[in-house]
Amino acid sequence: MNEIDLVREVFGPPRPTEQDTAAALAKVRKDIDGGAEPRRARGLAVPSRRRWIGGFGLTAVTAAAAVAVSLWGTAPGPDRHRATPPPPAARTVLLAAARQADLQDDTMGEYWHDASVSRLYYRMHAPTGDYTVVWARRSEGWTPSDPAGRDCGRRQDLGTRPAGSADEAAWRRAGSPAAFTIPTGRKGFAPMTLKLAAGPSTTTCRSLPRDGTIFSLGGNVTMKDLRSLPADPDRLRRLLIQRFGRAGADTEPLTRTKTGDSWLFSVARDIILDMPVTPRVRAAAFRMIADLPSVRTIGPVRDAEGRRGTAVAIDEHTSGGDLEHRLVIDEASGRALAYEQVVLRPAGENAGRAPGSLINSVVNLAAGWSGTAPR
Amino acid sequence: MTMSRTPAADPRRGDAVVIEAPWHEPEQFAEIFHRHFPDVHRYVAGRLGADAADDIAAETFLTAYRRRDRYDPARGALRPWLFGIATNLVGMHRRGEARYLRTLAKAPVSGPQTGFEEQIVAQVSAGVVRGRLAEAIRALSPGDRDVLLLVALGDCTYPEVAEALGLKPGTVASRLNRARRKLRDALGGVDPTLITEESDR
Repeated sequence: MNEIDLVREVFGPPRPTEQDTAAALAKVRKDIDGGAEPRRARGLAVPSRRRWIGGFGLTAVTAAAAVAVSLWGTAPGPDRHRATPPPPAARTVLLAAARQADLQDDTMGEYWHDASVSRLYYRMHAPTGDYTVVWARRSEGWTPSDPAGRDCGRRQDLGTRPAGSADEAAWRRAGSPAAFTIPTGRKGFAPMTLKLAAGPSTTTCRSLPRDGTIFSLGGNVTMKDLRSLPADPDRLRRLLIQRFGRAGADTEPLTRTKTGDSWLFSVARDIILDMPVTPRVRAAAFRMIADLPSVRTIGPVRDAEGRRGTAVAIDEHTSGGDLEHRLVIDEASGRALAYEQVVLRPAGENAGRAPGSLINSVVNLAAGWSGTAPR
Repeated sequence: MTMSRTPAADPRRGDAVVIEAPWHEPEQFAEIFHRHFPDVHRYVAGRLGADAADDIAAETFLTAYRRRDRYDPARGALRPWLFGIATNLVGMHRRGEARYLRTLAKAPVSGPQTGFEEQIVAQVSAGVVRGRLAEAIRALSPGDRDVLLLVALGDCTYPEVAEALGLKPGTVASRLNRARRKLRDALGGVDPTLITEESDR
């Protein structure tokens, strides 16, 4: 923790509630409508006690003398500036999201409910021309807050389709196949077959594993682990690296191929997207990314569901080429909408892909507490 | 367009949208207010205490409304502009701020924060840390203090601070460095990094 965070922790009071804000707005509006003069002229020696609150009362006197004409809608508007501003810096976007995350409600329910649609893009080869298909899957989870509770999941294959209109044309030229064979790229594994048509949705419930682990954060974690993560970005970073950064053979440990920054980005992304952490920890995860020097801003984007957000990104050099990991953020709600992986310079396993094309994406449809789960 | 429950929660209405709309439309002003008042209040309350913040944060928006013609959206975001006004208003109450910090320096451990306080009590005396910090902040030059507290309490980015105070980015960085160094010195034996090394679990 540095001195700035220390000052914030020690002196930073809570923000006013929405009700307090609404009450303050009502008072300010009254002042504006009353045409009150600025009160700062008489405030040079502020008493430590609450004498200033009288300000609103005093303006009522001024208001009586003033012509009580409402300014709403009658004042001439300022010059409109229509120039499109450059996208805000990634840090600004992330800190704005963090501020909103801080305000989120933290009432736990019986289940953490999350729903997402993931899309994987594959390049298909055909004598009539190559095209890209996208395989969409929906998954939904109900994770019990009680380790003895039932853990439910629902999965559905939403089908595999040509990704865009050009892809669709190429797919038609190839004879409109209803199934696609995707090599797994691993020796000894049969290729998988993806179908155009969506599959049925299946729901399964079971008890949690004996150790109570529910999510993976570079290593398996329990609800208690997640709920007790520190809400200070520096402490969060240190704890994540210490505790999970070097964890064995999990899918996302901090390894030689993942630099510290891209590893932290991926862990923070998971925390923000769909984990049952407290809002303050979600805010800390945003702030943690904001402190990474290699994070850059992409600007306004739409996610795979067409929702507007602002993307920030970090780059990673892999054997599959240079990749861009994007987090699509809704600053106004302090939530992440989606994660997207884009190939910037294709190589290796991504050699057939177009530069700047999507490899996969996950859109977050729901993440919050719920009182119910499937029967 | 339907408004969502809280104005700030609608992702389609960012600052840029609000800025284009005239201030005098009630719902636009309400949106700007809801979006920024909590942060401005927190910043001022951290400097002058909650009581004074009620008035000064309100005053900030009243002033902003009156000077709305002088706000040029092409020049930058609304947020730094509001923080600049708030800082000017705080600046008129330096004696109030000094008194507030003196009170904090002397007060026993019962700060505005809850969780963090409990944690540092286990390690060092929170009163010692806060007292030394308050003294050190009070001893800073007004310019350095503004920069430090805009960053720490206002969650302002460096460019936002630069814009709020009308400074060059380099000046913001050097003022902040100086402020941090002085706080570090004031904390003396208490290494801030040590404070956080308690049982995370």
